[in-house]
Amino acid sequence: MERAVRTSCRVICTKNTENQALEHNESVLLQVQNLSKAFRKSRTLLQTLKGRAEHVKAIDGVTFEVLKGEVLGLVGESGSGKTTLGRVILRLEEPDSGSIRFEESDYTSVKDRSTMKEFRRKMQMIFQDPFDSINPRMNVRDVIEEPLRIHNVGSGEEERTQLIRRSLEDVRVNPPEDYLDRYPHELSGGQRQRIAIARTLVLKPSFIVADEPVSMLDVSVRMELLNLMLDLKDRYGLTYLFITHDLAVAKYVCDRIAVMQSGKIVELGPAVQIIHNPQHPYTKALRAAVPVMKPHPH
Amino acid sequence: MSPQAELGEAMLNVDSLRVHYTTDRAVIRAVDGVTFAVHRGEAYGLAGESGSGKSTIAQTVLRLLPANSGIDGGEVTFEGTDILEIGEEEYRKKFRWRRISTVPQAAMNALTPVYRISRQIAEAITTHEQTRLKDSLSRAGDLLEMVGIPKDRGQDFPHQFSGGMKQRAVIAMALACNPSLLIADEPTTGLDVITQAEVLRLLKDLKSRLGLSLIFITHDLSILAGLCETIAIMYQGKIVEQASPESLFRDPTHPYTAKLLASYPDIENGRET
Ligand SMILES: Nc1ncnc2c1ncn2[C@@H]1O[C@H](COP(=O)(O)OP(=O)(O)OP(=O)(O)O)[C@@H](O)[C@H]1O
Ligand SMILES: Nc1ncnc2c1ncn2[C@@H]1O[C@H](COP(=O)(O)OP(=O)(O)OP(=O)(O)O)[C@@H](O)[C@H]1O
Ligand SMILES: [Mg+2]
Ligand SMILES: [Mg+2]
Repeated sequence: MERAVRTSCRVICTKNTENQALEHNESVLLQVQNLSKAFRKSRTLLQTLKGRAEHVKAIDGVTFEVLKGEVLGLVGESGSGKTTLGRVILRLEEPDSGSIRFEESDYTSVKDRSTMKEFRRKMQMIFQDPFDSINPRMNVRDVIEEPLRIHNVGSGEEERTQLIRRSLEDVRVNPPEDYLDRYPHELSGGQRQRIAIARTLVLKPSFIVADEPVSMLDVSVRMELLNLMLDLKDRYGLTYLFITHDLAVAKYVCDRIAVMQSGKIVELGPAVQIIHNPQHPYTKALRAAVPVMKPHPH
Repeated sequence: MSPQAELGEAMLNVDSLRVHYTTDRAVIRAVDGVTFAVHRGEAYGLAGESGSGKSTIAQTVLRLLPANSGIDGGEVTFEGTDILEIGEEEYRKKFRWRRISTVPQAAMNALTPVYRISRQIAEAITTHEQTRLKDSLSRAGDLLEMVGIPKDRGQDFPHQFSGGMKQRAVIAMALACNPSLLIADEPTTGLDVITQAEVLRLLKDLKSRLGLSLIFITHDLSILAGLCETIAIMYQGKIVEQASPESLFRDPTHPYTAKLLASYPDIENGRET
């Protein structure tokens, strides 16, 4: 079965990673098999009359594994299905078909609420749009406290306040007192993004889907936050699926990188290889389009 | 010498601008004495620290500052009119969309959830120009194609678009009425490098063909290097450095600029594991 899935996968995998995954099978944290999700396209009246139901295959038979403690990068075209893949893995969106195994157990078929909650505690997402994902009616304190309350982390008010303050300092929102009572609309874009990161990291989940988590941060703060995420990974054994359009960032944080195009993973391999020796034509084109840090003559 | 000397007359002048916000706990001096000019056909790049006041400058020029803000001083003149002095009605009729348009930082969130995408773009056109809805709709389709979204996807509602698609739809909408100045606040954050390159090519083309001026806010200095005549670096409410890309990259004078340039992760070398 294992083998059958592997050979049917059209991904360009390097021998190297394949062997790695096979040898350390016990260290596989997440196994995604043949996952698909389509959305119905909106139709005009005419199309409805003609009875055509068109679909967007947001993810189309995706198979891959995430090893425990690794950062797996997910890069690719805008609209290629990265966010959908992340959401479906966490079952914020139900897959049409395929399976998700997390820590050796089947997450796809979990139905009852308490088991679901256990999974959710361990699998969290940093959402792509910090303007959309943070409740505008909650102040910063409440935004970060909410996950702690839901999952019963921290005993009592005082410990939670400590955790909240620490997590704000961690994401360089300093000093915390100046921000605890502010509402999202009273923050800059990059500050909101850091609140979104703090809210997720405070739970120390074992698996995080980070969807463009540092896109709104200046490079200096960006590097500090990437280092923070790597540091937490080392200290607590976190694992990340790291969605980004920034290949330099991907190379910096990722152990392996998966490249998506039109709902499929077209190439997957060690970060260094994807960046320096891309095989798939789309990956090559992506690599070639990275803007160089040199001023052009006008 | 100013890198802008040969650019001719200024279209937008921001002079000694100071803006604050009031919260329950404090007064935040978001913009603390900022002066700069943007010329016709020029792209002016604004980069810098997160929270340093970049979006606040944009909001001021667009007259979209929130209720808890206040302008403490300074002038903003656009083609000779002091746009902080005129009434809201006049600003809306003469400037917003038609002459000054924007891709806000929250672009992914800027579309109205209940209307189809092409409909929204078309309505933006019809409210500002004397056109029939039918013509505006077909123009909306063309605009979407310009940013790499197939025409028929215009039927979709915003929640059916990916992050980057929403961002591109807002760019299309901002360009709908051929503005003279586009204030783009991190317009390409959600775009892969190939799509980003296409959008930048489009902006460059409009800039050279139609004399579009740009204020382009981003954290990605390599984008500004390829697009802008002038780059300004902001730090704690002030522009601490302003120069052509060439000289900014060659010898940054402010320590914060130097730090920014140095902390850039290098795709060629990078972290060794
Ligand atoms: N709720 C939805 N309803 C209909 N279509 C959707 C929905 N969510 C996503 N799609 C479509 O699925 C495709 C994949 O979208 P997704 O958001 O996963 O892309 P992405 O790779 O994250 O793109 P980006 O980099 O622009 O954020 C797109 O064509 C999008 O329009
Ligand atoms: N409505 C508001 N009320 C109170 N403070 C605000 C408000 N809007 C912004 N601020 C504060 O003003 C400062 C400047 O914010 P601004 O949004 O202009 O920064 P920015 O340079 O655009 O940052 P970023 O790169 O993170 O988007 C920040 O410290 C921010 O917290
Ligand atoms: Mg996305
Ligand atoms: Mg901003």
